Order: sequence, then structure tokens, then C-alpha cells
Amino acid sequence: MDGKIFDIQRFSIYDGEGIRTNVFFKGCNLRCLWCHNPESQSMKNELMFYKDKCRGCGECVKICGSTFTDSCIACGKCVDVCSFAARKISGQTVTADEVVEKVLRDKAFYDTSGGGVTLSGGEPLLQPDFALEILKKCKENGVNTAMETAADVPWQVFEKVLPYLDFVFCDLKCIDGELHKRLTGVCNTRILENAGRLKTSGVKMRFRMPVVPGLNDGEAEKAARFAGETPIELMAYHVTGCGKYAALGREYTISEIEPPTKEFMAALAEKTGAIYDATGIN
Amino acid sequence: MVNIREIEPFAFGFKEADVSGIQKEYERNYRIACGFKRLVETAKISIDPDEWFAGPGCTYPDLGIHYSRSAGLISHPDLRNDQKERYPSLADEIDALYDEFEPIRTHRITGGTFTERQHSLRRVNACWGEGAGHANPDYELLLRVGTDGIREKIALFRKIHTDKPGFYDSLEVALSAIEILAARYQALAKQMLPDANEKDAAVLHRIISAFDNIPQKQPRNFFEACQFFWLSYSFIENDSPGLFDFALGRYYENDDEEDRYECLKKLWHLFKKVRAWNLCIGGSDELWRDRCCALTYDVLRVARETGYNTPNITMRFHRNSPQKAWIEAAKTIGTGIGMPAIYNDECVCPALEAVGIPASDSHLYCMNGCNQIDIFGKSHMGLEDGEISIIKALEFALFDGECQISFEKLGLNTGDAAQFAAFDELLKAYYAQAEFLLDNAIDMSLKCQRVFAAEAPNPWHSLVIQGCIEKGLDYKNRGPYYGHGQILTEGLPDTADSLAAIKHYVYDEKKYTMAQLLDALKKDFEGYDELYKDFSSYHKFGNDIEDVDEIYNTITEHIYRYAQTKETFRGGKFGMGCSTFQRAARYGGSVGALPNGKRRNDTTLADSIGAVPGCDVNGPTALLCSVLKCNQRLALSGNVLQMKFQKIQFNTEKGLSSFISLAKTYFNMGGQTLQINVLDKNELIAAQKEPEKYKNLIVRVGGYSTQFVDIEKGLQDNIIKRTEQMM
Repeated sequence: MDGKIFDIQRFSIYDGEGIRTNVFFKGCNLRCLWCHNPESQSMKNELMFYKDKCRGCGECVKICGSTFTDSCIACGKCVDVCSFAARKISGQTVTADEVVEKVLRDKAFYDTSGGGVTLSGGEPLLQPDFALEILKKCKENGVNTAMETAADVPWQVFEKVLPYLDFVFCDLKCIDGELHKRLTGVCNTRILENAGRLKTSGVKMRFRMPVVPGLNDGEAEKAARFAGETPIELMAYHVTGCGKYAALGREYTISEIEPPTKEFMAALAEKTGAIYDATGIN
Repeated sequence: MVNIREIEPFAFGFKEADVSGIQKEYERNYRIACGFKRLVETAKISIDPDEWFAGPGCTYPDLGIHYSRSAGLISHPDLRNDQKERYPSLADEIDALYDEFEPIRTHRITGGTFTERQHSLRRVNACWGEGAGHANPDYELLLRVGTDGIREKIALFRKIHTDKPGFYDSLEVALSAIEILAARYQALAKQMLPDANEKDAAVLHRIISAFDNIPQKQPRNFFEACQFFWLSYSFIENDSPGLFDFALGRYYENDDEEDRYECLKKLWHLFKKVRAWNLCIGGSDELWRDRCCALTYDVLRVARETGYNTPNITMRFHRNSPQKAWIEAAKTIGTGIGMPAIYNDECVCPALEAVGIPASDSHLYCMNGCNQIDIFGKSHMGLEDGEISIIKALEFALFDGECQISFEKLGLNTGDAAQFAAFDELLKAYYAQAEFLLDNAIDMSLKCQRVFAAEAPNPWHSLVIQGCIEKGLDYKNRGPYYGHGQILTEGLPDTADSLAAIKHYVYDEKKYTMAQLLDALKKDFEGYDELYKDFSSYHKFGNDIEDVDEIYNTITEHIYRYAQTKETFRGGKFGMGCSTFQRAARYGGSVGALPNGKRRNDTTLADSIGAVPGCDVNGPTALLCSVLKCNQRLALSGNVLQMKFQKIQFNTEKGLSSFISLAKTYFNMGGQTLQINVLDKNELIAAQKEPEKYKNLIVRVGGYSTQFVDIEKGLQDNIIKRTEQMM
């Protein structure tokens, strides 16, 4: 079974218990304005070009049949000839077995730390069969499994994968439907329905809410009320991903927004009873 | 008016020793002991009450001709000139005295034993061999039984080895020297008392009272233990304190908490002043029971609080290490002082047992100097016997023995590499060159070891290192129970990367010929852009990639096992480990362009058993998996893996616990050593300037991943600023 991912990151320690391997799925059905992994959104392979590293040698122009802008097919030929690592292709097709083989390499580290694998993205559930196969095989090998999801998929998809998941991180971007549509491009009816079902499904879980000042910080209290007994974590918006927009030739539309201060986040967490880890990047 | 006898007390004690009743074969031992004795009788001493502890480490005058633990008899030309500058009126007498000592200067003698080719191999940084270095005196025994106990031990064995009275006479003179020194300090303290202010007087009283008891008898409290330790530690030269908590822990245990910690702090100031070497804490006994005690944790505390980078602290871990030990060590590492280095008993002890050291003693290992393994108080092995440059061996294999810096033919003739039809032929040539370098390093070391044994006996170390009194043999002459040797390697990872790229492009894919590669290397890749790109970006060791890891494993095992077939003069085997000193650049600068993409003027070289800087882009677990493919129990010396983490790894609970899990897993799977540094601001700035060397820096945050070098400049600046704030 094939699937499309854009990265496998070993020693991930902020997405679940212990030392984990994050598998970043490519493709997402939300278009959050603040997305820090913009290369995760499209299902297609994409060329990323880091302008700062380019020394203008022109090798890429020589090899490329097109002007490598709009007509780029992400063939990767220009990456091969670039001597300065200014170009890379985001996206690779891999089999579930290949992913699992990589994941198992750190099994000893999971066992010592209580860690495991985390499917992230992108939206892992847009490739449900691929995700399912990875999860099944990880469980067969005694690997703890977790997943990050934006939850905008049919509940039947959750039903398939839940038996093989030890932990779910479910995003709550905002509760207000109108606002949700404006910030993420999709309406949140299905998301909230799924989130409600997840709460009672028996799976261990946590909600996660990225807090972007002026966009959705006013929603934190509502989100906390929605979460109820289920833990909810507030995550400070950060701008470290905006360089990737430039690399993808896309515009970062909220560059005027400043990340929230630690104090602001701590106060918001206090007010809402949410979890907040002040040490992350913000 | 100063006279030459006062400024060169050792030389005159040595010259004027009454050797009339001494056996000829122990005359040198006796003279050296008498030199020591004269030194402590006449050297100007002083006590600074603020330092709390009296000892020559802080107040010996600069020495001219003397005896050095690492260099034997010294009368270095620089020292001669120093003395002449200091005492111009004595210039002629100084010259005459130094001329008299020149023929027996140890280094002059050892240098004279090397072949022309060996001198050249040293000069081009291909290999070198030595025969002396650090020692780990048995402070546990010395403090417990006092000089009285040592004297009894001498008396006992004198009766057994009745043919060696001269040997034991020398030891008695050396032993009396430390007692004389103690008595002089006590007398000085008494003399200073009337003029001392109240605070100083209190210290002087403690010193006076301590010397009523020590060094003859066991200390009665931690203050006395520190005073005894300091006096003996700084008696010859300040070396490695060894298993510090094991030796001094019992005196710490029930003493007043405030006072004992103050003592420890004072000792740390002194360590800093003299630049102490390696101090080892923690670890297990032979039944794997944990040995951590109150002193263990306070050593970490004092290291954190003072922030001093000396002594080098090593902490040992094992299956029964308490979580507290891990946490305290991780917190200390997190302060950014680069200490403690952590060692795995589960790897080191079996490795030592495999070469014949029983478990009762293998569990007494400690580090000496930087990362040389020693048996505390029982061995003469914790020193660098030599070093070989693995990349030089590869260079010799590629260029038929020709050095690409000096263009002399210094290696073996292994044939024109362009004619090698298969990768195995290249590998065979490399093995031959590596063995040749190791043979030479060992030969030089053995020559030195013999010279040291014959010319530079060390009565003081013979008193405090077990085996010498018992066997009636000097420390340098097979006295200590264990005499294994340690030769260190430089550039194994770089060589593995180079070989993997050659195998792939020249022999498997046949994209380039060996002749093309050799020409590219000669021309420093000028005009070979594509070849450069291919070779420099091929698989690198440290990323958990099979082909290159396998080559690394093969060449490491080859040289480590080869070393163990060789025997030292001191009665042991040669073993290997990895050099971690800041010599990597020197060796990196001593070879031409390399097939891993290193250019001629680039001095970058792996600084430990891990990846070449910046090449481990798959994160720390992948690096550890790569390193673990090699059996680390083959190492008889420190097989150090250096790793760098961001500050955030240590100042959050999550970061700290994941770091501990990482280290524990590495140890569970057979890793030997971790040396952890915290990335500082300057390194991030360096990463901005030379991104290709810092591809391994990853910015981690929930659900997000990117390489530091891929972030745009402004955001990098933010991260740098934050790093600074966290310091």
C-alpha cells in the first residue's frame, strides 16, 4: 500500500509521550491561514526553492525544460544539479512497510521513554487505508501509536483507525462556524461532531488549539467549554514556518500578526483551564 | 642574594643524594626521591587562608629542572631560558647545570630512539607514540591508611623482596617527603597565627589541627580529608583526582552539611586554579550496586554553581543507577558546562574484563586526563600511548603511500589505486596502511615505555598505585597491576564516508573511474563540479543508513581488533578509543582533499566517533543507531560520542526526560560514552554563516519540523536571541 508523505522525523518529543517518530502525511483539506507546514497542504509533490542559498549558477535553468514556475511538475531534476541545496522536492510516495521499517528503527527508544509513532501532517486521515496499515503494523510490533488530526473526515474513517490508536490529538481551531470557515476555508460542523464523538469514544485524547492573536484567541474559552472534561492544550502561534511559504512561491497572508507573548498565553490558559507549555517556540 | 641551589632544589637533591649504600640498579629511583625531598624541604611555601587548604599546588615556585609525571626528568630549553631571564647573575651556573642534565633528559632520550621515517610520520600528523602521561593515585587507600599505613606496607614487602632494598629505600624517602611538607605547612600556619585576623586564624587553627593527624593517619572529618587529598594531589603535579566520591565520600557522609559543602567549594576553587584533570563520580561496584552518595550529588551541585570547566567531570551509569542520578547529571549538562561526560559501566566493565581485569577491579575504572580509561589506583594505563590518523591511512592507500601535503612517500607501497579492479583491493590497501600507522605508533610508544622504565622511575606514584610496593617494581617498570595501553583514532567517520562514496560511484555504479577521482582530489575538485556534488552529498555515517554504517563498522572493528593483538611493555594489551580533544582540526588540516567532499583547505574532521560535523541530519536517534552498529566493547579507551542539543532539551521536564531516555537507551544497547554540549548562541551564528556544516540543527516544536539553516535570516535571528535568553 502506497501513500504520500513529506517527512519522517525521528526524535520528535512534542507530539505525545516519550521519544516518537513523526510521520508527516502530505495533503490536507483545511487551509488555515497560520499553517506552519504549508508544504503539507497539497497532495502533489512541490518544489521548494530557498532563495537565500541560491548563488545564481544557472545549472537549474539549463536542465529545466520549462521556466520552472507555473508549469513545474516537480520532477526534481533541478534539485539534482543544485550544488547549494537551494532546492528540494517536498513529497514522496512510500509504502506502509517502508514507513513501518523506519519507525521500528527507534523501537528501543520508544520502549525506554514510553514513546512511539505519531501520524501527523497534513491530515493523515485523507489517506485512511495507508494510515490504517501503518497503525496496524506498528501495533503488531508493540509500538505505541498517536495521531494528529483536524478531524474533517467522515466518522467512518475514525471508526476504522481508532482501534489501532493509543492517543489522538484533535485540533479545535475555533468553535464559531463562520469564523472557522474564514480562517481555515472549511466549515466546522463535521469537525465538531467528530470531536464530540471522539470524547466519548474511549480513546485517550487531547484537543489542541493554535492561538493566533486577533484571529481565534477569542475562541479559547468556548473551545475549553466544548472540551469539557477532555484536556485541551493551547499552542502559541509562531512564525517560524513562514519561510516555507516563500520557498513554495506562495504568499504568507498574516505576516503582520505578532506571536502571542508567554504571559498572554499563560493568562489565557489559566482563564480557560487549558494546558500550555511555555517552553515551546513562539 | 639568591643562589642556584635555592632555585633548582630538585637538581641538587638529585645530584647530591648519598647513594653510597644504595644498590646500583635503584640509584636513579633514589636520586629522584631525594630530588623530591629536597624540593619540599627548600621550596618557598605559603598559605592563603582564603583557600582553606594548604598545598604546593598553589604555591610551588616555578620549577626548572624537575620530575614530571608526564615527561620524566625535565630540563627543557625553555625552562633554562626562563631561569636565566629570572636570575641573570646566575646565567653561567644555570647553563652548566642544564648541560649536566641534558644527557638524561627523558624526551631527548626517547626522541633519539625514533627512526627518520617515524619523525616524519609525526610531523605530517599521520601517527605518534608516547610512553607516559596521566596517573590515578589511590587516594582511597592513601587517605584510609595514611602514610603510617603505607610505611607498614613497605616494611612488609621489603621482607618479601629481600633483593630490592634500594627500591624500598627510595619509596621511604619519597614518603617522608610528603610528611616533611605537611610539617612545614603546620609550622607555617603556627607562625602566621599571631598576625592573623579572626577569620584567618580560624582557618589556620583548622589546618594546624588537621596536620596533627594527617597525613600519618586517617582523616577525622571532611576538612581533614580535603586537606590530605589536596596536599598529596598537588604534591607532584595536579593530575586526575580519579574516583573522587569513592575516595572521599565516607568523610562527607556524616559531616556538618554546611561546612562540608563549603570545603567542597574551596576545593573547586583550587581545582580551577591548577586546572585539574578528570574527576569521576558514581558508578557501580562489582555486584552492580550503585555507589552514588551525598558527595556524588554535591559534586554535581558545585559544578553547576561554580560553572567552572575544570576538573573534567565524568559520571558513571549502570543498570541500577537511580533516576536521581540521571536527573542531576542531565541538569548539570543543561547548564552548558559540557559536564559530566557520561559513561556506561555495562559497556566498559565487560570490555576491561575481556582483557583480564577481574570484576572487582573493572568496576573501579575511572577516566584519566580526558577520556582514557584507568583502574583507580591500580594501573598504568590511563594515558595516551599514541594516536593514528585514519584518514591519513586512506590518503596513503589512494596515493600509494604519498602524503598529499608534503608529497613525500611516507606510507607503504600499496600500489597505484587507479589499477584497483575491485573495492576490496582498495580496502586491502587501506588496511595495510592503517596497520602500518598503528605499528609505528605502537613502536614509538614501546620505545618510550622502555626509556621511561629505565631512565625515569617514579617513586611517588609507586607509593600510591597498587602493585608497585607489592611486586617491588617501579610504577614505570610494570609495577602497577594493570598496564594496558591506549591508542586513539582520528577520522574514522570521515574515512567511512569517503570509502562509501568510492564504493558507490567508482565500483558499484561505475559513474567515475578511480583515475578521475584521484585527479579530482589532486586538483581539490577544481573542474570536477559534478563529481564533487556526487561525492560530497553521498550517504554519510550517522544517519542510520546501511552501506556507510557497515563500512564504518568494518574499518573500526579491523583497527580495534588489530590493536589488541599487540602488547605493551607495561604488561598489557593495546586497546583503542577515539580522540576527542580539539585536535580534529589539526588532523583535518594535515590531509589533502578527501572523497567525502572535504576540500584541501577545509580542516573539518569528525571530533568523536559520531558523524562528521553537520552530516547527521536524521536526528539523534539515527546517529545513535548508526554508532551502535559497531561493538563498543572492543574499545579499551574512551569511545566518546559527542552530541549537541539546544538548551530547550534541558530546561523543560519533557526535554529532560526525553534526553534521559535517549541516553539510557543508548547505554542499554551497548553505547559507551556520551559527551553532551549545549548549543550556544555562537554556534547558531556560525550556522548562519556556514549552513552546509550545520544541516543537522533542527528546530523542533509540536507538529512542526524544519532545519535551522532553512529558516530565513530574520527568524534565525529570533531563535538566536531566544537561545541567549535561555542561557
